[in-house]
Amino acid sequence: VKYAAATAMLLAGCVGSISPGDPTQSATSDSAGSPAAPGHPAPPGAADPGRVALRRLNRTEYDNTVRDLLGTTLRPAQGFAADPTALGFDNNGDVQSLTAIQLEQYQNAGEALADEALAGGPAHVAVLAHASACDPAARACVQALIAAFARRAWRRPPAADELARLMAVPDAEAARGGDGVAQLRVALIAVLTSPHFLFRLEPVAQPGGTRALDDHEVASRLSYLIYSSLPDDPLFQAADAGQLRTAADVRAQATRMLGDPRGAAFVSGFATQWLGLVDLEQHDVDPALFSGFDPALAAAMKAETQRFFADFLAADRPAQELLVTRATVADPRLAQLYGDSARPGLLTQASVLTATSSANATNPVTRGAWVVSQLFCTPPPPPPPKVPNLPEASATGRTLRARLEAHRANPVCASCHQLFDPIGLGLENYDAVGRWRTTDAGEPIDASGDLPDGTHFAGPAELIAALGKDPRLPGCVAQKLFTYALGRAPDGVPTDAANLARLSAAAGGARAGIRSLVLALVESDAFRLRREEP
Amino acid sequence: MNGRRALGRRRFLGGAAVALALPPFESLLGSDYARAQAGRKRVVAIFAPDGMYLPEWPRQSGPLPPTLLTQPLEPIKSKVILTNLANAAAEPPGGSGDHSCGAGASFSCVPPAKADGAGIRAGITFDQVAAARLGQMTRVPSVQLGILTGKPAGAESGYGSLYGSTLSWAGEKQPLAPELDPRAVFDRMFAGFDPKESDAARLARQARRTSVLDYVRAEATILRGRLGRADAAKLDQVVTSVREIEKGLETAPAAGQCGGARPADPGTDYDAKARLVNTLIVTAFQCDVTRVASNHIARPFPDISYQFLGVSTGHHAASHYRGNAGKEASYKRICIWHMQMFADLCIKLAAVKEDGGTMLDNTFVVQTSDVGESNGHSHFDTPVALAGGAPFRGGRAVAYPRGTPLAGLFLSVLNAAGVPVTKFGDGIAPLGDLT
Repeated sequence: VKYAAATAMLLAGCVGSISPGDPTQSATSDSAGSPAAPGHPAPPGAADPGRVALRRLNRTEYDNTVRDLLGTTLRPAQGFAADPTALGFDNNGDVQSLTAIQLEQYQNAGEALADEALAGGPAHVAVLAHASACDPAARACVQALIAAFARRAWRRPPAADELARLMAVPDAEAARGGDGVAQLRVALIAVLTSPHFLFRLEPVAQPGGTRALDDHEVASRLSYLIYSSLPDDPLFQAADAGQLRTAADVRAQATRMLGDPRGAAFVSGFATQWLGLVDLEQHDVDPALFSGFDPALAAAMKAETQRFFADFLAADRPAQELLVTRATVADPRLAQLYGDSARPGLLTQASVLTATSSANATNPVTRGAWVVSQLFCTPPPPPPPKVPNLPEASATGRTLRARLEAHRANPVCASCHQLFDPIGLGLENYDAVGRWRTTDAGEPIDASGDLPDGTHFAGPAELIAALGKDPRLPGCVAQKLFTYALGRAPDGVPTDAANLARLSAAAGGARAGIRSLVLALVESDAFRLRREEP
Repeated sequence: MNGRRALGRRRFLGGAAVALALPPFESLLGSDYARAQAGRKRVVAIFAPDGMYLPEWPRQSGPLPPTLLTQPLEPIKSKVILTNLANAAAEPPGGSGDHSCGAGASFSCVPPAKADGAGIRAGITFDQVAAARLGQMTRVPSVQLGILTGKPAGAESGYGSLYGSTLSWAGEKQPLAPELDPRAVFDRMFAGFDPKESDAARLARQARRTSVLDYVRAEATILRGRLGRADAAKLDQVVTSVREIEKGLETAPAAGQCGGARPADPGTDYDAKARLVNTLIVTAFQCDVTRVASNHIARPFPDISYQFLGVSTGHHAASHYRGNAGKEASYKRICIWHMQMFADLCIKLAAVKEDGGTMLDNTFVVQTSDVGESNGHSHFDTPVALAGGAPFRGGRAVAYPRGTPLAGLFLSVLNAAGVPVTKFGDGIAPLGDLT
């Protein structure tokens, strides 16, 4: 590490902006003894927001946060342990735990980031922006720099006592004979290994009560929802100015952020996980079925669906149109795979069709169950104990459809399978990588069927049109959004049903646009209040 | 008892460029190495999903018969016991969710909670009971590895996907995610050591790390008082982790001095990856970075593809093979591979000489699964492969009376490894007839 270069830059002075305000003036909050002054009390009549577990930055959030904090191109979290998933998402505080090895990785990452910053790397300017008028040999200079850095890294003004404890780290380095840069280095590492950085803390003010989140807490919830990262400057400024207290304030910021390029993190974080496409690049396809499947094609499939969702978000189109709107296919290999078959909506996109198939065959049961679970939020109830397997083709010489029908002849099986088998069978014209086909193993495909409500369909187009009218879809999108934003399913408190209903109504009812749903969610009590668990 | 110090730091440094090939240190260390390892016991837990192809698995007590599944064990057969045991906790009370419930109970013999998200709860696993004791003596208390990835899965009949994708639990709310990138595991165990660094520089670096950790612990301790109980427990984990790391810094200044060259990324060559992970485990034991490892081969459900074996049918689908010769062949192939990888680890352990025998004599490897007979999801005949040295008498299949608890085998292994527990899961006594 070239500390000499860093020192030279410190002394020469740097330009740049780390965060609004002069750190020596505004780095600390007035109130000692917080980590965050409790927000204002909950408004009378507010709904119980339910419990939100303490969340630690997941891998995506960590990498995005250090990118936006330091301008670094390092992606330290790629080497971290995989994030646990619950309720379909990888940002669930309830299942996160921390081991010594993980903490050690955080410390190692902090060291690498600090070294890069002090060696004049991309992070250099961000960290040392305020060094122009100060000599790093002076303790006050180190303190000012670190206060400014901690403020941004911790996403709120650090309290005076917190800063005092933090300064013990560079002070110890000074006692060991370390120079100003060495002191700065250990201090940066401490900021990045601190629980204030690694966790999204929302401390308890009044155990057993409910409080409004303070401005900086709201800013963090917004930024980690939409950017999977720390608040950007306008959001931070709004928090500093106390301008995140009303629903209108929050809505205005969220609207702005959804239009920001960094809002793409919401699409990759929410939509990709919701639709089960995270590891599509690792999906196996039997080369005997299709030799052209590779990670690049899988990535193109995923990108098509992400862009499709992003367009819906931008245009605030209703969830129900997800199933019937035609996507623009930009990727030539994907276009070739599609041929000239009609592709109405999500259920005909290669990403979804591939992800719900096995390596060498479609799986109509899986596809159908995916639709009712992910799009309608009515996952099939568990099968009764020790149900017989599907009779084997080799034993019966029958088609998959015939075998599934035989399975449904058993009324115990039929009660559930009739809810999703017909959906999967209605999509059988799309093979295990989403190509159009009219035969399977030499047999013509019969993609007709009946939905549980009696609606008959002759093939995929009619099936998809009928599914697109299903009233469960908009509510399901709201449920998934809720789960992603708060890290819990909307079934934790008795008021959740009302919370969801209010949310949908506020967004415009069944025809609510997807962006309106996000905005209604961030305005809701569940998002802006905190239940104070004892 | 610190044998590492007796060996001398400079001798290690001379061999620091040794590549990650076995056995890396014997040539350097000769009999010193064997003596240094004296008395160290290690534990490995392996989760091989979706049961075992029981028609080729010995079911009678006696010498191991030659079968498709025992054939890979040939070189280390005398150290291996195969058996079937009951895991009552793996049986889902509602009658479905066998794989996730079974996986959640596979190494704890405690029923996992039927829940996803906030309600997730499982028992401490036997490798973590071992780590609580053996881990005190090493820089890293235990490592969790994994081989095959799969698409993130939804819940199975109400059981969160976490149960199927996690082997080790340090506590009922503490799942330890397996690390799927062997290079990250290598870094975790061996990185941070620079052979050119002077002792003074190393001590200064440790002092800096300690001062950061002291700060983190103090901050976590203060913060925990400002949170609700459940959230405070997460900051308790921070405090515990700091203690573990600091202890490592204090007690093992030489740890991390071996490991050789950083391995290449095996990508989706899962056979190569599994063999590499086995090598990493052996190297970690040789360097005494840790004495406890777990290896999560794959989750049981929904389907994981073993395309690299030429098997296109998903593993779970193939495990329900009854009446379908193609699926049966696929399932058999996957089960053979699971035994090949078990054997690969044992053979590598047996190649390291120590303490008048080999490293395998001082290591206990247990491989088990979420279910027994795979067509019907039984849990009374869960397949177990145990390899290791005294007091166990290998080279045998042991048939126990139906209902004999798997937890008893874990107790036996823990006691053999020097972990004096008397109760584990639903087990209250070690198993007879293993020794």
